[in-house]
Amino acid sequence: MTDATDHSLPPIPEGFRVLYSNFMTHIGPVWYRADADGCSLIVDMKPHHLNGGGTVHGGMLMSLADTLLGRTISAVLGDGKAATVSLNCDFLSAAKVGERLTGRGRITRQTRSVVFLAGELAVGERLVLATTGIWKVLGEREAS
Amino acid sequence: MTQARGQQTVTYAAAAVVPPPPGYRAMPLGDPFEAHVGPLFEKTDADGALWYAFVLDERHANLRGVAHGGMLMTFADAVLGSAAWTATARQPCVTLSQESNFLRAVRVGDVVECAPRLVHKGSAIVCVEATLLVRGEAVMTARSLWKILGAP
Repeated sequence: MTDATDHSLPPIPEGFRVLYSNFMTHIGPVWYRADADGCSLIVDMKPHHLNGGGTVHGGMLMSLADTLLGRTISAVLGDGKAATVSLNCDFLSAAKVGERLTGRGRITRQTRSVVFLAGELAVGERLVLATTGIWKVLGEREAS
Repeated sequence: MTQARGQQTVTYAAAAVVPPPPGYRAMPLGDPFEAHVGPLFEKTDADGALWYAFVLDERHANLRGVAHGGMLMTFADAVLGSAAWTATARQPCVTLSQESNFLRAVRVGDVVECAPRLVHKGSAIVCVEATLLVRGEAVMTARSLWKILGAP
């Protein structure tokens, strides 16, 4: 067990909560806040997030992109009401241990059956990942 | 806020002990993140094709109790990276982009496997793709572009 508090980084701002799902707990902690126009994430990069080259693994960044856009939908539709159909991720720059990644997600278009989203992960002003995704709105039978 | 952060702890779990699916052997994982979410497995089939697999467990589930897309994308990124690396005679490569399509939900206990395919190798960019299968049925497709570091 390790204290998740990284004293080299400023405290997590007010209004953010830790996401509790199995995978997010395993790779996190991932902090989340629903905003009026989308959703924000904060994750501090740790040694277990890295690839062999010493930068943050693409799988970690894509996991955060999926969660960022998924939580953005949850903020509008409620939990467990939509599932990822497609996700595109462009890796714009590398992230390193000790850096704080912030994410912003937003809905670009919502229909009865699908939702189109976009978002970014950044360290300060530097963009790390740009993502777009399509989610399917689940029917009563599919939704949990 | 400080108090809430103080209560928050995270377990840096050692790689889970998961027996390999039949025919597979554990992959040596040099990437800490892959070791954290793994183990991952590999095998060479009778035709010489390289296959990769992992077993979905509770750690990989999302709020709906099925595979988090992030775990499927991490597995795809790991094995597509291996394919890109093989195609470039082991030159260092970085992911430029990955496009992932999710076709079916993957459940705890499912063995997810794939044999990545080289689509194209240019002088600086490599394109690779994989269809992830559970019991022979496609659950996800992934295609990614890799930049060969140092190539113009």
